[in-house]
Amino acid sequence: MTRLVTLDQAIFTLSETGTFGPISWQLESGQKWFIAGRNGAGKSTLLGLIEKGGRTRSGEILGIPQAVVVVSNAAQVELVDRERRQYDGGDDTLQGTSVADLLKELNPVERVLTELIQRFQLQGLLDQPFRQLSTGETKKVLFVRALASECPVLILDEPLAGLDAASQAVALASLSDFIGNKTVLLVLNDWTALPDWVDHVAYLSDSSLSYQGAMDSAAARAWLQQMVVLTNATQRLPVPLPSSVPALSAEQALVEMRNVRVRFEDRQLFDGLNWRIDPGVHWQVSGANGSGKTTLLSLITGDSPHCYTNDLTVFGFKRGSGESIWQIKQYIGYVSSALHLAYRVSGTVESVIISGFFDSVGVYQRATAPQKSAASAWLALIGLTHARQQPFAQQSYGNQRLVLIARALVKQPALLILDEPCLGLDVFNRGLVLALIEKLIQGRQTTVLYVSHDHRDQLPSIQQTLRL
Amino acid sequence: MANYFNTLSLRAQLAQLGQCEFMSASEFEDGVDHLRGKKIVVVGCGSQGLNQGLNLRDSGLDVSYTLRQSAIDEKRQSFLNAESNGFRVGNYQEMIPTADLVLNLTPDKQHSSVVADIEPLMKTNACLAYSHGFNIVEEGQKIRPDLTVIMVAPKCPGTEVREEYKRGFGVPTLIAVHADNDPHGEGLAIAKAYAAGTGGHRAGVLMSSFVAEVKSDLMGEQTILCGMLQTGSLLCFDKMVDKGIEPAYASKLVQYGWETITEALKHGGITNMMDRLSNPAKLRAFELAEEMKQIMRPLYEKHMDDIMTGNFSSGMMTDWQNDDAKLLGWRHETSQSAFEKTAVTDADILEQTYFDHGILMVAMVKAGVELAFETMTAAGIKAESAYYESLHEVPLIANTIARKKLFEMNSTISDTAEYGCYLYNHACLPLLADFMTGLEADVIGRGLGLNDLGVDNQVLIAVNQEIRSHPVEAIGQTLRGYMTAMKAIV
Repeated sequence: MTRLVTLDQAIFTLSETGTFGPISWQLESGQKWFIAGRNGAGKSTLLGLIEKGGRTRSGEILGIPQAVVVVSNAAQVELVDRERRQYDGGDDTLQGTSVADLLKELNPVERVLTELIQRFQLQGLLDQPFRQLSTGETKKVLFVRALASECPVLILDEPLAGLDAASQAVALASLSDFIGNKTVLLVLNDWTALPDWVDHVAYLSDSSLSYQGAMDSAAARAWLQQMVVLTNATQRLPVPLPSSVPALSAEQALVEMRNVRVRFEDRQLFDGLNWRIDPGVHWQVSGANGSGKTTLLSLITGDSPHCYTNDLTVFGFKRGSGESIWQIKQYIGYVSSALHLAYRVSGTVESVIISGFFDSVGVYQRATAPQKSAASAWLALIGLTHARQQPFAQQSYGNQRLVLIARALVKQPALLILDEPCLGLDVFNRGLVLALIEKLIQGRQTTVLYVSHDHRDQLPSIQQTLRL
Repeated sequence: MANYFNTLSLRAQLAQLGQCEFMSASEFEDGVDHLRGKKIVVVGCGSQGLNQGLNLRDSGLDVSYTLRQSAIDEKRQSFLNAESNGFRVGNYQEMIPTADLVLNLTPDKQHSSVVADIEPLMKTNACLAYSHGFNIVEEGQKIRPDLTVIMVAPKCPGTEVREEYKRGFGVPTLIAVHADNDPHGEGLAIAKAYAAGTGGHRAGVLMSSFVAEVKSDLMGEQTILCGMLQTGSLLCFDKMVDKGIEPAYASKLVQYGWETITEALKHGGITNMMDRLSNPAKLRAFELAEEMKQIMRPLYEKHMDDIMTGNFSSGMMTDWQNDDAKLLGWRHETSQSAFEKTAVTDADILEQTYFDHGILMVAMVKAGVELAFETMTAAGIKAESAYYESLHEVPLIANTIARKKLFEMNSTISDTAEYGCYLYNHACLPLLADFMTGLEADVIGRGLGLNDLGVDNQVLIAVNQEIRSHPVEAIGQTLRGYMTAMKAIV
């Protein structure tokens, strides 16, 4: 593979006021990218920049290909316009370029062209002038001449639009058969039709590529489906069950640490730390590896023995005054990569979510019908309804993490602790997890305590930061 | 001190041996309430001591530790364990007089001297608890009559006791009240609250007796659990090498084989373990197990008899007096065995292959479990006890071998188990010698290698019937049912 196009922090000027980017992207020859994003995210703009280049305000764009063949609505309109400009209003006998001539314009590979003409049943149209074709027929011609072309770079922006169902099927099959080692950029709103030959995915949002990387098309389909679910603003968090846990007063701090000291053998981790977490105030905890982030959290969850040797009040319980750890945990939802590693009991996806009601790893108590339906609602929210009865261990790593977050949330805890929830996840799964967390913060039912040392995973909605 | 069991009438012996009742969950509804506000002091901070203490504290109880002054001064591991976990630690004089409940979680060997030191310091009407009854039953320790004496014995290593608690579950646990020391009739209430504090009530609690716990525990650990796995490891490895199997492969097959095949045992008993074999392999394993049971039965009976008469414990205590001369000699010998010293291959062995190539190992587990169970129940021990002390614990011991072979197993198990294990091993190796001579690598190391997996229907039905109708399978199904009933709900 050789490098084709490189965008390095490129910001493009689109108009007097409009810019696009920044985008960093490495496109190698032969790769087949699927470009996804919501309507208006700028997919066509991006394709246009790769096709023709653009004026950068900052950053760089290198290696705009010499020749690109495009199938898009814009290209269709452009061709129709060209014919109209050249031949309209002239001599009546001048009917414009014939379909046969048009098909030969882009240096076709003869064998492929002949085959495609047959597949799309264009034989009868070859001698007709292009301008006399129906809209659907012009799209077929555009598609056939693009795919038959020797040109190694192919941009397909909604290539199936305007084709009837039968022709769409022919188009998809022909792509599979003749795509070869072309470099392809594909935009397709209906990703359930995502072709198998797609090997890379990029996700555009706010005019930059939030996620990009290699992914086979089946995984991409499932991922995109979940992204849509998770970023759907109208989808609400499930309604909380009537709580079986004693209510907390709204004025009372969730956590209050006074003069906390923790020492590990030769190292003083905390020396006089004071910290108060009030309901509704989200916190981000940052700090280098080893700065004590996880220890701090474990003081709250009760997993550190130092919670018994410090002045610590959690959910109204002064620690070490006869409360049990389960009285503490009932108010906490907790996710970390350590929990993920520890969650190795066998069970279904549903049972993992239900275990959140009992703060257990595995389920050892009978779940009620409302608890089961709450679990189902959370499964729907994370787009995994189909996996309800599947073994947890057989889910992808990213989906396991989503399930664990749903487990932490199913009881709508007063405090949600997310300790590096994206650790170990690839860029795509990270996208899913962050989208889910944003949704929770907007849901306003849970106070979030979020730990991450990765600047890519900052959450704009969290205002308070504790730096260790 | 005289062996307590031997002082009992036959009638009382049988009554205590036969005590083992599965307690219903409703008996634990009050949780740890009986111990709330009481002061619990743990003596010793090894694996059981530390992990039980962590669980009890997380259950809302007041836990601190006491150690000998020398352990504190020298900052021994037990001291570091307690201190680094934020517990208060003090010497016997400081801590014992404050305690309402003293948990003696020191090694068996130290019990006599520990109890002699702490007993005079204990508050009037306080309670002394054990997790193993050797001191009371075998050494015949007499405890001050105002003190209540109970036992709460989690049937897992201490680390497992903690891990299961953190998962929100627990480990199966035996509890008992020493009939001679229950002056206020509150022994059972304390034992139940203690068991609930360790999380044991979630996984099932058996009401047992000191006698039943000790006699069944000793029998299980020295025969099927540690003894059979040790003897089996040595025999299987040597046989494979003798038959030309690559030593590194043989080493791996044995080291991880026990763990893999007994995982099947854990989930579905002997039946499921045998069902993991192909039909011809199952028939073969069945025959081998029958043959071994016949050869080894007298040995199992001898172990049971020696345990019942007290010969075993007096022999071991003599060795204690003799600076563990025998124990240390045997330990060294084990560390020098070819199996122990041969590094394992890097090549992967598939899970199913451990069964297919380990037919003899499967047969050894079957023979050992069934023999131990049959011998114990024939001696008056109830099926529930016999199950927990045989089949239930095999996977737990197998895990230790998977970690670091026999060395790890022998350093993890109790000192009584280790002594008994060597005793068994020395008798069992020559006993099985002739039997082993007749075997080829098809049953250990290579697999049957059959293209035709056909068997006779009538023979298979008869063998399946034999496997499934063994009494250890019936009780196992019931007891595993209690443990997994909850897990299977959703």
